[in-house]
Amino acid sequence: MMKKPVLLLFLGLLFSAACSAKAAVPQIYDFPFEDPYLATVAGSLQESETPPIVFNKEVRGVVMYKDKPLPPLLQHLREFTFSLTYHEEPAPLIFIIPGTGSNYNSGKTRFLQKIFYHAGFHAITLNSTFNWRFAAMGSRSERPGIVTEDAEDFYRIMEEVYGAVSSYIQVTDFFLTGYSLGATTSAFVSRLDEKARVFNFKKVLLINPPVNVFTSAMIFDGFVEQNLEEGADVFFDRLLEKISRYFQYKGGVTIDSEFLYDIYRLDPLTQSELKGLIGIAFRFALANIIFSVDLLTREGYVIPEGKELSVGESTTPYLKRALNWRFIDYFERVLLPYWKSRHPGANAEDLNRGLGLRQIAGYLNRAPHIGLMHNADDFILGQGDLEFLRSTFGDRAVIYPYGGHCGNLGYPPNVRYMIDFFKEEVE
Amino acid sequence: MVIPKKLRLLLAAGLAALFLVGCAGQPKMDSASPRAVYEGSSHFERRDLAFLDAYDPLESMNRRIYRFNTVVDNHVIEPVIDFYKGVVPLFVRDRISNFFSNIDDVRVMIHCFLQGKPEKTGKVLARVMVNSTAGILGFWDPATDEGLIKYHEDFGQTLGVYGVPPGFYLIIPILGPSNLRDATGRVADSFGQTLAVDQLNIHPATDLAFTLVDGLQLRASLPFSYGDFDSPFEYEVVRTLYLDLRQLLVNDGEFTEEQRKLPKRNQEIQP
Repeated sequence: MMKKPVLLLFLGLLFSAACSAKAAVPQIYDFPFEDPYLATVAGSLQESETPPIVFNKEVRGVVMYKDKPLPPLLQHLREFTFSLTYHEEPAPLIFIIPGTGSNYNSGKTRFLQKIFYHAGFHAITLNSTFNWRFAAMGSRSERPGIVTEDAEDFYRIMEEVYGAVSSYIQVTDFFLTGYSLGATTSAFVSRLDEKARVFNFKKVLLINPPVNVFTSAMIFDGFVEQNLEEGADVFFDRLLEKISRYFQYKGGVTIDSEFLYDIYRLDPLTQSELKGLIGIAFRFALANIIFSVDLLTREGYVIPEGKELSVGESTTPYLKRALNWRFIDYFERVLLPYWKSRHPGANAEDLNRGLGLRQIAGYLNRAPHIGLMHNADDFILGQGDLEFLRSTFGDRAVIYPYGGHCGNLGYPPNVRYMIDFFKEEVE
Repeated sequence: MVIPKKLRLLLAAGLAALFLVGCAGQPKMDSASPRAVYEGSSHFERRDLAFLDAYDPLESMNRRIYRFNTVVDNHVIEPVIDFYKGVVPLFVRDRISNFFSNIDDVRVMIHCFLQGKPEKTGKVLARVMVNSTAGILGFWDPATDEGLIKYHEDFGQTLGVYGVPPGFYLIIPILGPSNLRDATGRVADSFGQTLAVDQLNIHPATDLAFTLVDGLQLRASLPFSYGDFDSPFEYEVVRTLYLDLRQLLVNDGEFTEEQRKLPKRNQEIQP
């Protein structure tokens, strides 16, 4: 089936998305891509060298709201699905929270699950707070995006999830990690756990977190506005032309790990195209959320009010409309009105401030068990963000010079670092 | 290769039935809405995003079948595939995959011939010969290393080469995305295969076993499945990719001007 390779390309992008006490910036770091955009897009290539198959693996679900009615198009999301890999003997358990839009089974998430499983951990992968599953069966407001509220809801999910597996796995200690938006969620979840003490996380690793979600969202808006100036159709045609070279070279479609690399080698994408692709991947994740939120809340954001969508009905007009929404639109038209209704007198700046790590800087600064793995060239960071991270985490921050946004997650030195970070505490 | 009369009748009846079902399920648009939706502040014009459009008159039925396929795939087929992968080592799976690919190359060769491409036909012939001998009955694939790459050709592509338009988009139960032309091609191809099985005097049980293992291995080699996009718009994404990539295959990978979305739009705009 031909859809697969492009799916690979697309998923790789969509699922975008480490520091012991004395760790410093690495001295020698031979990461192959110096271009952060290329690293982000091509980084998924290296994940082909994943460890062998995991046998003790289960995909399960928890029902958070038993009696909650769901619209026909979301009926199948009644269970909040997660995946567990486990050992027969007692072992530490690590929770893994993926980046924007991704689910428990996305490439990077599965990769992290595998490496931690093989390092001796039970590993549970969850769905991002910006995934439609969370909108339908996690978020009480049904409007994901406000990190503090999302983290509270997410914490409850984690309790349920652990309750569902605790009878047949023996857990020695709890650990937590997340990449991209999942890292931000992890930071807030860790703080909640400080008071609730359900898990008592021994260590938490934040991988490529945005410092402020709003800032990062505006950067993605810019990527689409600046790099798809001629329109989406021209952009899509150009991508197809590149894929066409690949078809001619390969004689058809061969689904293998070199697909992306071959496309790139035969007809390199320009930096503008790479940025456009990254922007579009995030824009697509946003469109998913807008549409799902509208189905749930019936606010009439993109679906005319009172319209009941059945399974057979075309969603293409809504996809097109939702794709034309920028992150700022979602912020202004969905999150802000909701925020104001919850906090009378609040304004956009108040909400904006609440969308990032700065509001818990004091906690992060004082929490010796939280580490940070980031990249100096990660474009989701705004001005001053890197300095903020350095000063907040001090020597618990490991900042690699290259890697873009989560592009080096599968790079062996990074993998080693992530495992060592947690292992240190186990042994 | 001609479709027999009976089969043609059956196909026509089937398609007519599909049409009726599709029409019956068509919901009525509700035009009156109390509050206006927001069109978004990005720069995609109304006519932009045309790449998401497709000739899909059976959309309502297609979407239902897509949902059905998703359930069957996730709950029946995938567990079987997982079991197969867990039990049969990669080395053996590769041999099985190569073996069936070699048999498939005979069909590929016939289609290259039918499409009037002598050079390509010769290459595939050489490929089959190398793999059947040096590759020990096709269990290994030394031909690819010698530059004789694997091509993908089927009856749908051959029809496409002769100018048959793709027709409407179609989701086939279990088998997945297709269109009128390719679905017709599938029927023709499987008829051709039945003919070959008859001629070669292959026992029906053997044929069935081969077909099952071939299907299993083919599905197992695909790294993705239904629901992987995890999006309410998966149907649109798969449709766009299927139709566009299929068009590339028909043209031997060449991106043709007629596939381009932009000039089409401009033509539409100019009166």
